[in-house]
Amino acid sequence: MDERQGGRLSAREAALARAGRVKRWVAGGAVALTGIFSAVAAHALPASHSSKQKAVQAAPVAPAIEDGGDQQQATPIAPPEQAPQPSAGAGGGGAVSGGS
Amino acid sequence: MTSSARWRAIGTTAELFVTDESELVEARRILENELEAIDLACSRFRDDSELARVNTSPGHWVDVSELFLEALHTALAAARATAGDVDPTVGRALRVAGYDRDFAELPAVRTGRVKFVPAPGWRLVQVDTRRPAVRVPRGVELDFGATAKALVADRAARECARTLRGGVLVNLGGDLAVGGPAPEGGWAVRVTDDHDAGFDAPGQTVSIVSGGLATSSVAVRRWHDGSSDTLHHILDPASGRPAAEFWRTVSVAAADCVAANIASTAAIVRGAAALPWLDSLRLPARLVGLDGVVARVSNWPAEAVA
Repeated sequence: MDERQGGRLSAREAALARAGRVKRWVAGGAVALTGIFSAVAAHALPASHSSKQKAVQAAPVAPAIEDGGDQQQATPIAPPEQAPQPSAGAGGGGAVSGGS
Repeated sequence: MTSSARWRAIGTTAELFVTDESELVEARRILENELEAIDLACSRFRDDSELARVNTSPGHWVDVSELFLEALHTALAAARATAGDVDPTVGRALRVAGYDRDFAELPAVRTGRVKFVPAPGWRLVQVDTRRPAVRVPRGVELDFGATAKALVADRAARECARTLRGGVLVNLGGDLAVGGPAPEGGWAVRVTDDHDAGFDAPGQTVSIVSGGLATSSVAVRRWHDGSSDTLHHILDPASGRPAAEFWRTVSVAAADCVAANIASTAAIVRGAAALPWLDSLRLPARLVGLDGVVARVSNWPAEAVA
């Protein structure tokens, strides 16, 4: 093996080593990018729920609202200051509450 | 001693009681103004209403009034509070199920094809509170039937209490709101299946001094779909079908009429699960099963023994 042949072999080994490093970087980068894209997609496109699943959601998400809607509005269902009392029909009123 | 007035409005009965007789005319003017305004803003059966413009302009921003915005926010808040059991996007579901005009104009037997479609969901509604404007996607139609009447009752009762002498009770088709000082012994209210029934209809009489009281029932607003089925107007948004009939009638007392009406409507949809839900919210309620058996929660008073 002359000096020229030895130089070519060293250059080939060096090139192969560089190619191996590039392959490892490409593979690692692909894995990382896949993870990043998955996370972004999961955040941007949340899974839709069936109607039954919807019924047991603990904290429903506010509707899409532009320009600062009422997302923070408290629950509108509050109890009365005083529960209804028994009545024989005396007093004022005489209103009827029924379905309509 | 109280004075009262009663008339037909927005497809139901409007009724007004005042403790000061001299304020009855002005109280009625306030309520009539509120009724006219809500009808123009939120009626599903008027081509010129704001609601009709929103429903017929899918994908486009539609400028709306402050009143419409308040009604929409109330409806969206109801949807959030009930996890969608009271959902304003049931408009199309109601229409294709056959409830496509004022109930008084519905034929006794529906001849057209009846379909059931789930409500698309309140999260799809977009609101621009600065313009203000509303946009719904194609396929979404709004209906404020579960909350608008109660909202008017609350608004009118508050305005009467703010500007008039004495107390007032507003009753819109069984959705009650009171404002100002109650009469001695409170406002007597008969809870029963049908708001149009008389004070002596089967039920229970209670008295309230503040807030609101509402009743929802599957015994009223029913129609035939042309087959053997009878439909009622309280739809389960998840299926678009009339809610399964577990309770016949539910009456709820709350801090205001909107809250009471949201709770009574959701209770019909939720069936047996309504009992612990109402109790967890500390809402006094009376629930009548299909067999007539009465359940009470959160200090709703027992029936008086005759």
